[in-house]
Amino acid sequence: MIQNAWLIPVFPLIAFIILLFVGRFLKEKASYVGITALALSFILSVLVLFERIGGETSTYVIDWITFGSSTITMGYEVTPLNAMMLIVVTVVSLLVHVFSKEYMHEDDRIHVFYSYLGLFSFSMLGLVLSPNILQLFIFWELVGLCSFLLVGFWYFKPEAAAAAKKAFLTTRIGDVGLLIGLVLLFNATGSFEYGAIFSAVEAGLVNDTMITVIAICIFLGAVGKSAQFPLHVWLPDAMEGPTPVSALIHAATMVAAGVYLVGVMYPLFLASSTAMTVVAYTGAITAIFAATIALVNTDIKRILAYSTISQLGFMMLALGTGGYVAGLFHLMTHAFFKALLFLGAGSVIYAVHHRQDIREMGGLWSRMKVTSITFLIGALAIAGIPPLAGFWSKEGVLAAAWEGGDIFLFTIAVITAFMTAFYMFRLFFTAFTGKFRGDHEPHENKKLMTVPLSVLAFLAIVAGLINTPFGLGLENFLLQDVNVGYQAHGELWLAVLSIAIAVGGIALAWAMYYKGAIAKDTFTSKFPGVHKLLLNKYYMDELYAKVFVQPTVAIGRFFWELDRNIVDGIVNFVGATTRITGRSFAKRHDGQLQTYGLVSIIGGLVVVAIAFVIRGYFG
Amino acid sequence: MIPNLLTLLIFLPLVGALFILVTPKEYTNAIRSLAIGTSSVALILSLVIWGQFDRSISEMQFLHSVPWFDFNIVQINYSVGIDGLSMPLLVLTTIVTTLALFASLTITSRVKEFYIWSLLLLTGMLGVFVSLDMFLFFLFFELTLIPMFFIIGIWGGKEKYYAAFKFLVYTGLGSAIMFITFIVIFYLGAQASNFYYLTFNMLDLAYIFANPDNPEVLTSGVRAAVFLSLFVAFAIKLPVFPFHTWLPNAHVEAPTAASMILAGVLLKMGGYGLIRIGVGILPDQAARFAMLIAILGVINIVYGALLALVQTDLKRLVAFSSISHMGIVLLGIASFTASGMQGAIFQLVSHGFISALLFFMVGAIYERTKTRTISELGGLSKSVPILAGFMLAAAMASVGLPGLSGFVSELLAFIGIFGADASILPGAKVLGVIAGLGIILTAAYLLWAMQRTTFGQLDEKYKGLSDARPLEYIPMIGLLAFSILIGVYPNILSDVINITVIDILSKIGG
Repeated sequence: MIQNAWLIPVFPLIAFIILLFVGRFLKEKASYVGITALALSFILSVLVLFERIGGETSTYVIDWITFGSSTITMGYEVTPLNAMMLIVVTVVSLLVHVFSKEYMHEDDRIHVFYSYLGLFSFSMLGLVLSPNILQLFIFWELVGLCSFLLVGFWYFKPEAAAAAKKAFLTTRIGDVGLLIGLVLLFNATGSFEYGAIFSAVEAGLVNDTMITVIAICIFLGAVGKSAQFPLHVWLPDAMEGPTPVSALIHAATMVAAGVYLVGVMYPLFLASSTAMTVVAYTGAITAIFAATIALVNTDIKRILAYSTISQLGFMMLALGTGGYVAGLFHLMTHAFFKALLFLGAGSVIYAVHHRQDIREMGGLWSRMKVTSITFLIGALAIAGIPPLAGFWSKEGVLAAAWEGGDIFLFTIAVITAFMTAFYMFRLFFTAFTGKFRGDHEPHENKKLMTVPLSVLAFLAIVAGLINTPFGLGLENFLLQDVNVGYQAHGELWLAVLSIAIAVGGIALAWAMYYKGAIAKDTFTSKFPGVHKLLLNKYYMDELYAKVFVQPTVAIGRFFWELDRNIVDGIVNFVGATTRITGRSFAKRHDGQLQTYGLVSIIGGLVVVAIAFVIRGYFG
Repeated sequence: MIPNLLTLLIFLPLVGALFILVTPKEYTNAIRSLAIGTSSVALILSLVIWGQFDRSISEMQFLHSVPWFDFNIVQINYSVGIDGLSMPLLVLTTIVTTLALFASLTITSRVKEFYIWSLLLLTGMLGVFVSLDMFLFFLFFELTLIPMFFIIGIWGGKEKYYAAFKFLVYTGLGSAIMFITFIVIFYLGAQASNFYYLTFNMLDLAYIFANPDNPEVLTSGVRAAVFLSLFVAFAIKLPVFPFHTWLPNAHVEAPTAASMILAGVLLKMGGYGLIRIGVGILPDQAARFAMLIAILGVINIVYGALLALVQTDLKRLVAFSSISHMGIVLLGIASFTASGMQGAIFQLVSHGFISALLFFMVGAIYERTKTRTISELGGLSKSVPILAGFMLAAAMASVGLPGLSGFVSELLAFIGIFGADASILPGAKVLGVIAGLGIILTAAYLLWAMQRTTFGQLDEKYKGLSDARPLEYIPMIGLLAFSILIGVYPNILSDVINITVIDILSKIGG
């Protein structure tokens, strides 16, 4: 079966092609095409995973391009890491496909939606299976395209159109860094293949400065894709896309690709302590920065979006402090519980007629039983309550940060973990308990929506159990053929601390938003400036508009004036002639060609004469 | 005797034009069929040549040489042949022209003349890419100028006369410089071989310039002057800043089919000439001025993108994007690496397909909405979803999205510029980074344009527009398919180009 791993991305590609051509005749039935394709991919992924665990492997490449004496190949490769990723992507994608059948059934472009989902699944699976970093980059850009298409799915909404553009452009900035990084890498090592690159680095063929520059360039790509500070601004806006898309692309899979990239290139990062520090600090700053914004936001999807940014920062922090397994383990558990939370939010939004403000919700617990319980499970998982998935992986992240030896990073991680528990339960208590404050009485949704929630809830409970101090299954699997150094493990005190933080955060939220023991505006009234700053997301959008966008457009306008008035004027020393002849062209056809000929020949002579007059200057 | 396929290919459109000439002008459908038929046969013929082309040798193939004029001492030969540099451009020309003729079915006035000019243009373009004699090259180069001048001047938009004359004066100036420089090269070649060789043959001249019997003639200064003159001549065509100002006018006024050919093929003659004649005859000087070429390339990329960003007319925006994208060609050439040089050639081909598609889409939208002003459009995905979809695909190809051809050329050019030899191009990495910023700007102007045209609310007056017609699918699918083909499997092209590129570069080493 593992020799057929290449079929995993091909199924959704076929679905995309089918829907592209005959989608509009299928309409709602398009969902069956997509669901079937993903089901096949999922089954195959499970088989591949088992065979990989059993020690089998498979690689295949073909020549892609030749220049000079270099040949670049493309193909696929099954490694422990990507075998794990295949499961994550196909599970979440399949469940989102099922969920969307109901969620999107009123949209008359549902077939387009499913075709995009297919293209996305193909690209994301292709990214994961890539045996070299160039191929990864190719699929990396394709998932970006799909993100653009799906964020802008409701293209007629100006906010969606703007958000789609912003998502593409912001990540593009990081992508140019990544492209430059991999071009430098190719020139330094002569290859895009992971194995060849790492051998060259290990053999000392690349000097240390170059390794650092390359690693940071590559990391820039990850910063864009995984919405790390300062390129995080696109992800909250990307919530303009349909909610299942947010769950699949902007929570579970694509945004995690940046973390995956750092994971795949880990030996390179390990070779540069500067690059590792950059990764760790970027992750830590992002984690706390986004968490603070999530504290005050009231839009259910945006809170989750900032939470995603923050959690991705956690993963980067782990990777930057040497926690290879911790970072990737958290990637996996986060994919499940964050997809759960987003689909749960989708279920709520669907039930309350597309309202997203948590202040207009409330009391959903008694009205939407399955959604509420599964959402609670997701919230407990992200908060880090044992034995749910988030507890085990967050424990790993904290352990890595502690063992990394930088107490500052560890402190930030702890504070962020506290905030996470707090804002998730602020959201939970506001939206699900108390009185319903909306105007349309909500009801629980159909099975098509609640079953995926239940499956994800199950995974959010058990997924962490594959890597606990009682059995390091995932760690042993992932470390089979990579050498990524010592992996930290949390001790008992850390577990106790981590539980205490989580319980503390939940308790504070409970006291403020459920019990009312502490007034909701206790903090906001004491620090109105800080509150305003957080509500406005630190004014990053405004800053970027002022510093980058407006000046660029102004420069463009300036050059455009220059171009019309000066460049055209100087070069076109015959410009006046042109205009005169142009005007009289209609009247006197003949004679003009001679004028042109004369002008040209004289002009030509002048230019060549100049070249020869100054030839002495060239030696 | 089997006639030489190249000669057959070049003169086939001329024969088609003769047939149209004798067809009464009322029979517009017959004229159109004749033109498209001729061009299609040329396309098939070029694919046959592509199939027979030997990818393992760097020498010229399909050679055909006959004495033409004999002025006793000077002999001008009709001499044609192709290598890995001209082969892809030959196929590009027949494909883009054929698809552009499909796109010109909307032309209803003076149909007969239009197609005669178009076929003459085709002969001229094919001739440029296969000529091995500089005199012949010049004649074909001129032969492309005049039809395009009339096509813009007769079938163009509001300011067609101004645009046509500006086109003529600028590119005519380029031709004049080229012609004079050719004469100089001819004379220097004669002097350098002690008047043993009196030839316009590019290959012979390249040999003489590399191995002169009389080296005193070819001082470094003289070589530099010749190279710079050639560079200016071809820079106008490509076009290179600051000689680019004719291009936006010509594009905005030209009919759709002419814009497709202009951006798709004519500009490529500039890049081709620069590599074939500039680098071919004076490789040492090309390497010497690599820095100049690279800086101009970066200026083209960034300047073109900045100007595209602030355009209000969609077609002018696409025209400036062409200027920006031609910077990649310069950058690739200036790197003097196998990947960079191949990137330049890839970009010539790739941009040929993508820009033709973009111009076709702009034309199709204009035909329906009667406006090209970006702010007046919006929400086209609603009324014309298929056209909007192709527009988006074209924009993505232009952005350099992987899976489409533009990405491959940018990748190769970047590998080239970042790997350039410091003795040829000091500080190349800085230029590469600035070019990278240009790529971000490219995404900015194209996505911003998409946001304001295909996305957003649909204006009431565009509600009842008709979507793509069956015949419009031919150019749309054709052009996009070639871009995808090269993007997904670039080996199909690099296989043909690589050995020629290695050969070109081997001449710089000395």
